[in-house]
Amino acid sequence: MMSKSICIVFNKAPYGSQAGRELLDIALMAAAFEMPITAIFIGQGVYQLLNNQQPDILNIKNHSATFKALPLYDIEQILVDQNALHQFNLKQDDLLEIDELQFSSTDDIKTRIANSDFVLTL
Amino acid sequence: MSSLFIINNPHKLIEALPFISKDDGILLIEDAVVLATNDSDSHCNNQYALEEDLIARGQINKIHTGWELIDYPQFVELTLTFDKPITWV
Repeated sequence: MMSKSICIVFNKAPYGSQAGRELLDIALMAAAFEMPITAIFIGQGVYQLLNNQQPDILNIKNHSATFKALPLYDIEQILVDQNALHQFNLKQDDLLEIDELQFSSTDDIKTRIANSDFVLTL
Repeated sequence: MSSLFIINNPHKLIEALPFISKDDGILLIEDAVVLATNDSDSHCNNQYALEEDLIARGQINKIHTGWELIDYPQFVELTLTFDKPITWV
């Protein structure tokens, strides 16, 4: 049986809520079941990927390093909405160094969402 | 594949719109139902609002023609009519 594909959509900035961390946990869990996973960053979700995060100062665990580990878990489809980067004046240099990051158009992301079996936001 | 986008907050519709196609559906629930009273735009071919939430907020008589009122059993049916539901929070 073919595994069902899943899109995990990050649309919130980190630390204001636990959404980012929990979606990451879900992504790693789904990967353990060998589901085809696409991680998608839209809107304020692109702030999840900023480099130099130091939430320790707020006594919050830093989960940003885990994003770099996604490819190790065979999650190699990582799409970032170019529009959102532009909107928040972010450049590739501002983001974590992940070779698999794809800078995608909103339409590409729309198609990906439409064609997957499950879509999760949190 | 068509999706049913379930929206529970007015701000979230704006965020989700770029990812919604004509053949998809939008279902407004909870706080988002107020959009059905002040948003006359046609975003897609299938636009629904949950009747209970409109009644609860005293907005049931102000619904725009572009939105179809549905109850909970119809909500369940819709999740089966579309290929997948997407709860867009």
